[in-house]
Amino acid sequence: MTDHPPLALLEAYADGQLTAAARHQLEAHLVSCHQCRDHIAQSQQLGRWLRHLSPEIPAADLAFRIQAAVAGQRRRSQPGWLKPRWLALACAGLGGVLIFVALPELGASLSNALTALETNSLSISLESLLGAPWEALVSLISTGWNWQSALMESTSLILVLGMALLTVAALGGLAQLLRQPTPRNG
Amino acid sequence: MRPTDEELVARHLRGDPGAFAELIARYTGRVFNLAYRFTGERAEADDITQESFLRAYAALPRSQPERPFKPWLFQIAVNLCRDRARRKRPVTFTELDSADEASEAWIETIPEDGLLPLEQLEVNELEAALHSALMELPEEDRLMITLRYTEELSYDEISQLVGVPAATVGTRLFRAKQRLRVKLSALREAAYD
Repeated sequence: MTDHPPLALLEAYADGQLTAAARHQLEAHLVSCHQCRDHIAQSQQLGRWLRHLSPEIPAADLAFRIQAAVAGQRRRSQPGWLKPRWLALACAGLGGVLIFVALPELGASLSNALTALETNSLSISLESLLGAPWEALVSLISTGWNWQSALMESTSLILVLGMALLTVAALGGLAQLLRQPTPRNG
Repeated sequence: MRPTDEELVARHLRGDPGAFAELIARYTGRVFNLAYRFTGERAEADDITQESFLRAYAALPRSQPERPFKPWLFQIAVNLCRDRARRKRPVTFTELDSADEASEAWIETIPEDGLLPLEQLEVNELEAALHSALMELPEEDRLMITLRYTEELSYDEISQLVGVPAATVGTRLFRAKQRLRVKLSALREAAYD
């Protein structure tokens, strides 16, 4: 037989990429053509070796660098005012201002609280605790209630709010640090 | 159970920060190998791999969610490889085919004897010879062989990725393998001279 099918067709057959109809038609030719059969066999053999060829391995840290780059792109795509660092700075700034405003009044609040202590004539001594623990405990609770009353004053509230904002700022900074990508091996 | 690419993409689009990281871990090596086989340079392959994932990350929200991730990612990488090659050497890839047809008419005939009795090579010799011969082929030949035999893409998938008809994929693969056989023969003859 001298009429051979196109070699690209033999290649597609060797690769298993022909339709069922095309494959059936070609196989009718292959029955009586050893040249085409040999060519297909060689092509399949070369394909098997190419499949087993070792791939080129990237540097061990490439995946990590890509993850860091993607994380950077994600941060850059966020609205500026939503970025954790700016929110943390805003909270820290506001908290600092509130504390600065409340500090002058803090002394007065503490003084009032100490006065409440003296008024109650509480004397918690080691001797009281050991000699009359129940009475000492009742006195402690009533003193705590007075502290609570002192804290209800507005200036102290401002101080508490300021400290809360500073805590939020600190937590925001910690969250920013924890968002750094960790290496993942593929 | 290992999540599929489509599941990871869906989770990423819902805001799961670990999903895309999983895709990076899964495909970094394969994209790098594809880029290296095309460019022949590790540093360039490194850059192309990183850029491929950055572009995929930016484009995912706008892409069709049902589209298979792997061929799409490979297409981004191939486009980047070709862009860089085009900047280095302004030759259109269709021109390469025309030049080959004129000078390689022998390719279209079945040889009486095989160009290379592969079974005569030792296994380690074959690995080294194959790699060396492959990297001497033109870029597009290396690309076709890598997409078909390393990544196991079908002719249809390669056709969509490379931008040629499926029948042309078969033709190009055939010619690439014929050139590879010639290179292997030459390397073997040089080794035994």
